[in-house]
Amino acid sequence: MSQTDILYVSSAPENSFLAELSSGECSVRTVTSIDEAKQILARPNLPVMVIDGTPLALEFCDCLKETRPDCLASLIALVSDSRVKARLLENGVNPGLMLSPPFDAATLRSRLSACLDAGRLRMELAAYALDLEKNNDRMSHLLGMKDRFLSLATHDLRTPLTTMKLVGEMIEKQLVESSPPGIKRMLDILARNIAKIEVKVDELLLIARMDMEVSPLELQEINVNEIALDVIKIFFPGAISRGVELDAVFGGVARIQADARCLDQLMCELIASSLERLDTGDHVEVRISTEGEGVRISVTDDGPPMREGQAEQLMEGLLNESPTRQTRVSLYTAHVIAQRHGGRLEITSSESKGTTFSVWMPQQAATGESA
Amino acid sequence: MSKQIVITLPPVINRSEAEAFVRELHEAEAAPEAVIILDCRRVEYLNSRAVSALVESCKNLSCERRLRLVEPGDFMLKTLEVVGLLSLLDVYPSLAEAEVE
Repeated sequence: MSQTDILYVSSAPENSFLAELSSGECSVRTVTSIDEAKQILARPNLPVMVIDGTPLALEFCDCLKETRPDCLASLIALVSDSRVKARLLENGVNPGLMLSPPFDAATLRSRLSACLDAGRLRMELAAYALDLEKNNDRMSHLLGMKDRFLSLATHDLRTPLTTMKLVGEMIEKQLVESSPPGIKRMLDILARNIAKIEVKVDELLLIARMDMEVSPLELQEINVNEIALDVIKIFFPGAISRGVELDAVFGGVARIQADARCLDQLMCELIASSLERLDTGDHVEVRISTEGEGVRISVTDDGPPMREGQAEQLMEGLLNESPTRQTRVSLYTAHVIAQRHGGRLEITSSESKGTTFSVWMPQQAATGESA
Repeated sequence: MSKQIVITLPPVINRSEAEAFVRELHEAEAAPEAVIILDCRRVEYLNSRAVSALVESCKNLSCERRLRLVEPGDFMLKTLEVVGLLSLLDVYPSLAEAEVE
């Protein structure tokens, strides 16, 4: 069947013209039972199909309407009876491909030629689609592996690194005058190499961050407080080393529908935007509160306030999609994630109230994107 | 049996609570040879200053005076892991067991 170009379905096949067609460059298969026809319909690649006005052909047409309606438009019908024509038209058969007698090979050949090309193209497309599907599966698998690797690299790798750094500092602190001079040098080498790996982990984090802007959202019911607790602790090593105090205040149950990875990233960007402005002795407060039909995630710091109009300029730059500096990249990512969920980013800064980066997220994600 | 100092941590340690905790921890460190036990059973959140104090405490105390933590919750455990402290502290399932050793 793999080389069949034309499938002719009929209870009483008229073989004279088909025999002539078969002898040419295309092959014809005649089907005279509905079971055989149904088996062929189950295959992904179908040849050009020709029916006539016999009962089997009409039954086949009904069957086609049920199982492969996409093929009705390219079905060729050799009919003379007007009632049969009307029934085929009702089923969606293309009137341009309904041929009236005489059904000689020359007439058929001219009509079939375009159909055969289309049929071959359809078979090729089906094969490509199958390949594409396989490649998509493979790509999804690879993307999953990439996500798992990024997660491993950014979280699981960072934790032992922090321990190594801390232990190095502890050893250095307990060194005394009489300690062998080589130990201090080796500790310096250790610290430098740990710092290099930390840079690489940060680069991986950047890749994960870029992914957030394009990956489809996987919406689910999320406890924002739990995500916040998960995120805040990641910033403790940085906050401690900079001498910045990082507080968290939770105002009751805060549940929204969102993509967990995106929300995680959004909070990271807000806290990172705040922390990088601060110095020893400064204070940051992460606050989660319900507001209207949603939840507000605010990060407020008491670092130096922005100059007058800077917060507005920053927002304008983000809305115009022109982030330039690091803070803007972080905030732009937060802005994109909030927007994808139907939420919004806000920035305020004043001497008395400090600087706040906040995002309001709706309880039900107002997004046109599919989950 | 050496002297033991038990510090009970509140459920939430933010700026104001951290100050009291750090002071209490420093006082306990200053007591010579005393074993410091931190009762963490109620802790839901502790801020970076409190964690920083634990880090400093670990650096300051000798190997024989490792801090003892009683029933730290999920957040505290994960936080200590992230800052690299978990393997440098002793965790106990109950106050009684922390006091016995």
